[in-house]
Amino acid sequence: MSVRRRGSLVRRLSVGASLWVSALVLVVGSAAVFQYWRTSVRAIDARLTEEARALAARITVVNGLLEIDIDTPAAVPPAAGPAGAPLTDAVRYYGIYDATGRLLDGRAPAPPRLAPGPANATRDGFRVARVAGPRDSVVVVGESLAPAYADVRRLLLSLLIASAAGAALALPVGVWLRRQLARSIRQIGETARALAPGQPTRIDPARVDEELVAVARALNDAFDRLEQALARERQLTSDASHELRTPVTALVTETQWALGRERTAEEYRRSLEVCARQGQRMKALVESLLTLARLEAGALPSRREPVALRALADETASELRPLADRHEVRVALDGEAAALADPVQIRILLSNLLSNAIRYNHPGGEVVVRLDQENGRARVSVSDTGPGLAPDAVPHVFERFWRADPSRAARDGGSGLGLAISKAIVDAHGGSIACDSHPGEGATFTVTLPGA
Amino acid sequence: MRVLIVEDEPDLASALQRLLEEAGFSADVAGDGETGLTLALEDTYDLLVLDLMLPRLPGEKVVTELRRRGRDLPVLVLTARDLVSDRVRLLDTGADDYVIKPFEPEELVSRCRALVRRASGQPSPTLTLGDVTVDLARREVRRGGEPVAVTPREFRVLEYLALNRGRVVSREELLSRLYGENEETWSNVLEVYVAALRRKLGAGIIATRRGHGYLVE
Repeated sequence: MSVRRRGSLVRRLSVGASLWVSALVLVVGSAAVFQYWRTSVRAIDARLTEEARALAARITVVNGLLEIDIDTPAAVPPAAGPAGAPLTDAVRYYGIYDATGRLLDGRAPAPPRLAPGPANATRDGFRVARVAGPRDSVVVVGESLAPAYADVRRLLLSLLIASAAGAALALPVGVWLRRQLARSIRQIGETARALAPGQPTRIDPARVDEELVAVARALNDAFDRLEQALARERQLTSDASHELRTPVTALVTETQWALGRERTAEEYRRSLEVCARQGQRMKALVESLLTLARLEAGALPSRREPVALRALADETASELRPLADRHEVRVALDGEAAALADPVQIRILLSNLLSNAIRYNHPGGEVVVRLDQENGRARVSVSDTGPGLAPDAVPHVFERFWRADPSRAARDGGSGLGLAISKAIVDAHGGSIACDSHPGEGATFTVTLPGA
Repeated sequence: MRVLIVEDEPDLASALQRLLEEAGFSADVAGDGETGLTLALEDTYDLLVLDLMLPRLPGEKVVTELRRRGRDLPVLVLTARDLVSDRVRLLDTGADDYVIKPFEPEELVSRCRALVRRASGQPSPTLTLGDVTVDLARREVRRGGEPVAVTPREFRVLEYLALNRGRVVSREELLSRLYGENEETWSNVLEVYVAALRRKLGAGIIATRRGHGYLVE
């Protein structure tokens, strides 16, 4: 899929500003020209009407006949040429008609309509004023509009030039905008470049232009999210390197010893056993760390379906039977519950809780798994009869690599991550996990999950 | 030279023990801090190799307690923490040296030898006793420039006496420094090794102080 490049913002801004300015000049100018035209026409009308009235005043009635006392009308020069001829070459004309429409004096392109109509009108490029005289006679005065048209054309031409000039003048505004914008963007860019992992530096929204505050906030947020992801990665790397140090050292020392000189087959076998054991330990550790990291990052594919917890707990208990036999611990299950959960993750959760309860128990001890449904939520509690935890230890049990007794890591081969993983799983499901324990009274881990 | 390894990871402890024994030490293992401290206070060790993350008593406490009770045996710490501040604190509590896990086993052995040598007041890894030279690092003995074949056990006796030259070393002390807890000894084993060394390196190399012990001048 190809994405059309958006091109330069400043170019768009410049062109937009130019077009806007020229359109503005055109609109305002056109309105002015229109007003000028109307004013001009009104002035012509007023003059023509006045002249027509002056002519009409000179018509007198003598013995029932109309008599016109005009030698040379001062204001209206006599039009040349025969009556009825086109007057395209004339600038002005006048005509005096009797009631029958006969031209008595002057000349005119056509008899005026005697029917009622506007006293002023435009006809054949002439502005015409009509005034009634005595005995239904009519006086008509016309003036060519050509000079007025020429004025308007000149004005419109000036307007076009002004509009183009406005557009050209608006271009530097674009350049100015570009400078302003570039400075703002460069400023935010420089601050963004100074952002580095592990540094608290952020873009101060109070110090960027208003338009870029949203950008600054978005950059800060994106950076915070990256920082959190990085912190998780760093934690993982640090945990992994710290926890891997002892098994790696054991592996290296053992192989160095074994390869130091020729050994017996028995010695080689024992060395390989050590290597296999330490390798398994590292493998389990790395897998647990990855699981935990993915759970915490929300990167594990997760589905929700009704899960019959009793069946899952039964399966887990029988899988852990060998471990329970080794520790001489009896596992009992009671009740039933259904959760809306990811069965794969719930299996890990149950396995962690049960194997912990078996490992941290006394020989002859017991592990009880109770299942029930409460307020629409599924509840699982796993109790052991082990030594229990000191009160100050309880808040730490879900921390990574926290161990009640650091030596147990080496003896059990546990990763120290089981409960951290369990908590991450429960959190991902929107459930809760709690530990209740007192020294000498064993421990009970209670999990609630959304019910099915 | 006798070394006590205090390390709770059994595989690592066992590998270290075998490695150090083949390098000429006799090595014992303690699996937790308390046992480690008790054994170290018995004064039968020339060196303590100490892990930090230990059950019952953390490594730092073991060092602090040893120094508080006036014990001066060299302590080499194995640490998984690589922060400078951790290491500084470690040395300030009285440890003599440290290696960071995972370390090179060879380097650990060399550091152990160097610590023991310095604790004995011997700056050089090669000791000269008349016409006999003892190379502690390469585990070689020469007499008049010619290599002399000695068994590892004989070398241990010679090494201990040479590092404590000028001081009469009792038979009990010598026995306790040469054998780990689980190694069998018999009463006249020392006489056998001393006799062999005298035969190979000259009768004057080791003097017997009757009723007191042995002496290398």
